[in-house]
Amino acid sequence: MNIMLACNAGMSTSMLVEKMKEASAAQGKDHTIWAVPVESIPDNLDKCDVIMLGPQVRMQKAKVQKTAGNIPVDVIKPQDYGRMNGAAVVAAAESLVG
Amino acid sequence: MGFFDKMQDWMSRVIEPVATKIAANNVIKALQSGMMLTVPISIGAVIITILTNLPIDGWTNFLYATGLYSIGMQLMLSTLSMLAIYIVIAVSYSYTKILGQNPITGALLSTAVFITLMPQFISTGESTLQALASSNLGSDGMFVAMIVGIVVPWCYNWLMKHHVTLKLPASVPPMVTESLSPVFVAIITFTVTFFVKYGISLTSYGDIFQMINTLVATPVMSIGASPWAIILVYAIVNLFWFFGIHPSAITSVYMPVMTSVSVTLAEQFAAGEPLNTSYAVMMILTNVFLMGGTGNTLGMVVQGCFAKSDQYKSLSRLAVVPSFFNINEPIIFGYPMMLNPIFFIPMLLVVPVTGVVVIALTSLFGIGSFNPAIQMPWATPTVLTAFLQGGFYLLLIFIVAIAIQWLIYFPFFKMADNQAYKEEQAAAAAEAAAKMEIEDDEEEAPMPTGAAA
Repeated sequence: MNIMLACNAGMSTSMLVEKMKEASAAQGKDHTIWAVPVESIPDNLDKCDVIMLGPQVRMQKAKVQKTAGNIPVDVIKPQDYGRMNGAAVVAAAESLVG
Repeated sequence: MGFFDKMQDWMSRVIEPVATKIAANNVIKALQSGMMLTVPISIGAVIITILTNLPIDGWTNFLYATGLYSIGMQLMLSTLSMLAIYIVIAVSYSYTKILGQNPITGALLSTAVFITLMPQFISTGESTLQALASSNLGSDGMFVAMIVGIVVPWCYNWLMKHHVTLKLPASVPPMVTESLSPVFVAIITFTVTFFVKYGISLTSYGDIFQMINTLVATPVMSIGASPWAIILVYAIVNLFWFFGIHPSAITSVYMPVMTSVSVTLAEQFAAGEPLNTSYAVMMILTNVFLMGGTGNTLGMVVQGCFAKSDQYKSLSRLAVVPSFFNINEPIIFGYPMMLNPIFFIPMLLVVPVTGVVVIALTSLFGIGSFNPAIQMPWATPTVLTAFLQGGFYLLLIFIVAIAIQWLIYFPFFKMADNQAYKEEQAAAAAEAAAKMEIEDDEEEAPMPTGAAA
């Protein structure tokens, strides 16, 4: 599964990406996970199955969903984001794609 | 309803929609990403700038004697001091791309219009020189660059969308018509530019640079370019983060002011003129407010590594290294500071208090040998930037600032930590009690599984 994270600059989400990769590797899953700035979402749409937004850009969800079309978009829970809980965010992304 | 509930309700009803509108606005987005694109230009010359300005006598004499100093300054002048020309390219490129037209065409047209609008002759004494003034490519051209970088791509897009393109006979291959349509747009663009330039030359301003600087730049800068304005901006930024919202709506609107400030300083520095002190203080303050990420939590996070409660200890240890690089989202969302009443007061106080102290220190003891030409990426540890810009003097000011920021958080952090510690103790006690009960149960019913085996 291709999970794309997005926040304002893609900086702090890139920390979470590392934690998510660790978590999915530990579960023996083969996910591709990366982070981009919100600006670059349109350029990456053809590559991703699900988009997870950092909580600080949650207000842009509606707009992102519009550009993303059928690709599910959700906001990462602030607690999971702050605690860099990779496993929880991977699970949330999986449940979105279902 | 409690104070915070009311406040959050107000934020989500009033502020969030406005912030969303601003952040999602294509013009703001183009300005923001255009500015980001110019970062390599303003930072690229930093190594040469540092080396050519090392305050060591023998070294400086050597640089002067060999002519290296002059070349170093020229490098700085053509990058950092002429940012307007790079801004017009980057902003128009970004905006054309957002509008869905060919970005390089948009960038080329805008740059050409920008140069065309510039005065092309400079009188030096008796002779008139055909030349462009570097100030128009720098601080004096900043606002014109942004306006041209938006208006030209907008017109380009409008003309393309309304098919104001060349109509050729059907026998002409469509590829030929298509390749000619940007040419047609360019013809219209330059014709309009011609009349705009002539029109403005009839006014008392003479050229668009004078006009925009008088009508737009001067009023904007007189309101926005002061250390007090920057304190206000960053206080609002912290308020946004308290509600867990990225403040790009605020910072992107303020960015043109800050860019003008830093380019003006770089020009003054390169010309060997005394720096505008209030501008220099603004540049110092942006770096102070960047320290440790939003809310300036660096001191608190270091303290948090030795917290009593596991909750704060483990999170602080996770967040301490990124904090030195001014990234502290783990703290904002993890502690959490967001919507946490305990951290509301320090988060609101930290910017004004530290700001006032830094303003006081710099007005008492001056700005030292501040070098505004040294700009670093925002993820650089701020103490390093401070040291490179102003030596041990500025470093000392930063250490004072960190100490103050830490002291502001100290009592509140203690409160939060003690509370979490108590909860953990209570939880551990409850768990221990539950465990005891299970053990008691086991004693009453000895090894049922074993008996079955």
